[in-house]
Amino acid sequence: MRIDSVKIENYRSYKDIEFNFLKKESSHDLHVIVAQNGVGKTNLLNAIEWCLYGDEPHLGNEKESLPLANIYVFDELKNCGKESLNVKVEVIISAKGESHKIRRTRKFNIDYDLEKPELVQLEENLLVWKNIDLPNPELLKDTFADDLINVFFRKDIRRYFFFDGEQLTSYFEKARDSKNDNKIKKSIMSLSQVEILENIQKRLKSTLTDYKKEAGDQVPCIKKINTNILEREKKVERLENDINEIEISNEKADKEIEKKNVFLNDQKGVSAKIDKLNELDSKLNLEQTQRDEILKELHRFIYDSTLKIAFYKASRKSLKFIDKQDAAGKLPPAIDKGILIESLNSKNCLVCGNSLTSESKLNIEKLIETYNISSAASNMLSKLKGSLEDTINLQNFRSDKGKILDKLKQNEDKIKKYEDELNTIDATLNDYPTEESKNDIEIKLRDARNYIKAQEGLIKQNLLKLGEYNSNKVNLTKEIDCLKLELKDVMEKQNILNAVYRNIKFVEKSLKIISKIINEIMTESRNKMEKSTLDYFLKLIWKEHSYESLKLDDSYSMELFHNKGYTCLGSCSAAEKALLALSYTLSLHDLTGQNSLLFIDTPLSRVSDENRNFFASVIADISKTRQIILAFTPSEYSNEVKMKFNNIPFNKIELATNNEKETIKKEVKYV
Amino acid sequence: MNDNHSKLVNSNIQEKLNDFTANNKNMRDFILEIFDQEIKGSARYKNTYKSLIEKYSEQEGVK
Repeated sequence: MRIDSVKIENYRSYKDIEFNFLKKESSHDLHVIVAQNGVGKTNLLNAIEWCLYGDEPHLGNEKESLPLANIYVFDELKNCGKESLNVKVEVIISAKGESHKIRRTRKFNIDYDLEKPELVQLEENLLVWKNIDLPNPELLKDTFADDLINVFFRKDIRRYFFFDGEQLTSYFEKARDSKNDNKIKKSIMSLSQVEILENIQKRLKSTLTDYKKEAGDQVPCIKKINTNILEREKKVERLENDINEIEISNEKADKEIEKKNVFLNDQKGVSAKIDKLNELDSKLNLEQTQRDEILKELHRFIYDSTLKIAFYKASRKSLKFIDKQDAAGKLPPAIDKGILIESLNSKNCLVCGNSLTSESKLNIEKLIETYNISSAASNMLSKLKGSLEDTINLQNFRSDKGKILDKLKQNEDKIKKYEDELNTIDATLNDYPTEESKNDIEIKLRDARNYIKAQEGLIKQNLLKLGEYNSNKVNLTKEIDCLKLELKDVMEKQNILNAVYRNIKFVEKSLKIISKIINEIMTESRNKMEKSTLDYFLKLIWKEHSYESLKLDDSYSMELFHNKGYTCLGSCSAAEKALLALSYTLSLHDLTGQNSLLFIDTPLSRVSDENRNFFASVIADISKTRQIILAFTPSEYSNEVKMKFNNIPFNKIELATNNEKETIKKEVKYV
Repeated sequence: MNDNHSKLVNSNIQEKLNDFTANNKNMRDFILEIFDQEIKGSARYKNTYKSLIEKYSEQEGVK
């Protein structure tokens, strides 16, 4: 299906204009609109969507926008004293050889009673003429009109027909906003008639409950078992909801982590430098602590050496005196008193082993007596001698001092080196080509890291809960199975082989079959869309070997995998994301059979120059199979793009403003 | 149902239904009929469901 023409009256920047999107037979269906920013490209997109759906999704903040009605027309009418103003957008669409006209109007009254005349919004009307080529086209209103539009441009997946190029980079984040907002899945279910099967399922379940109640009324114990089953089924349902919530929460946390990681990767240069700064800081701290230790050691050394030097002479003299007395044998002998006493007690010499004679005994007794008298002085002198020898030992003074000073120098060299490195990195960070200071970057990096940690913590907690909930669910499901067996047993025992029992069995059987059909169709659809999106993407992308696979989860949220196995959607460039969005869209069109047009506003706004020609050639190729309307700014419609479009026939409409009051067609040509 | 086929059900569902009810024509007819009634908007009342269930379960009997 395609849009043949759009006629706009008094809508925002438009006063009275008609766009004809003509297509020659067997040709490309490509239409290029070129206009400066603010001239009316997005207004055209909004006008079409307003006509089809009654709202303007690309408006930004509606409250802060100008009125729907053209304010200059309002001025003109006011000056002429007119009482009302009509805004009208008319879109003619065609599909399978039939054309339909869709017209939305909104009437405004001009209230002159106010201090300053104002527009007062009145009713809005939507009319659809079906098959306008027939002599008497059928006129549809209200929900019938909406229904016809929905056949051609399903409202719930409209953002896969009408693109805003500015938002392509965040395209996939919206795939699963919440479990109730899964528009893609809902659309696929609706288009594949699975929605009808689900309705049947719900109604059969409700009827089944009625039959069970009926059976329970006949036999009280059946009622009790049924109540138990129902209670557990409700608990399982609650658990499933909780599990779903947790899974969504974890998916969100995963995406947040991915985003922050992308941010950290983007800051790689800064991040590495800050890591180095931190490393140098800790090394510097260590060296500074060591310097304190070395200085203490040096102080101790100086103190000890000073003492030695001060007492050198006296010590040397004392030592000489002791040595002299020792040489003269005036110092007590070095005898082990214990051996003497023991030898005396055992009457045997412990040194030679011979028995002690009376004479030997007397000698030992004398020796012990002598030793008793001199031992104190002897001990004192030997200790003093050791200390004095140590005190006068100044031979190693220089080398010991040199060792400590070397250690200190090495330490100070390291400190200087680290400080120099720190200063260099500091200077680089200060010159870093962002407006943010190093501190800001540091704070952002730290925040990003902390955020990732928090999200990881959340995922961990969620996984614990998930484990608990899944285990509870398994237990409850087992209990339900047991109760169902018990129920069957009781029913058979009670011989309730009556109509109610037969109906229960029949409905249960049908429910199983319907459930299998739903699961198979949904799984197949997802698999088909995964394959088809990847096929399109690999055809469109210039990096043929970088991407390996693509996964869609139950909610049709996408994950793209690099050939090294990593998920990589967050790291894709804007151009890659744009092509991925396009692949996803084309695949969705195929799957849902909605082979519709694509209207892309500012398609190349996020695509760098070198990728524009590639994107343009892809678009040109797609325009062979469907209508493509591109609204470019002049800078987007670059030479690269023109070159690619040069070889194919297309419509070019250039827009301008008439004294900044009205959007007009400056040039229209079929190139 | 004629030839176990509904004009309103899409071919994918029809194919799966044929697979899962290969040995149970009665069940296949029941699901197709209820499907048709849903699309036509006439099966949105419990009594329509109940009368269809009773009709087809009686034909099938308890297996």
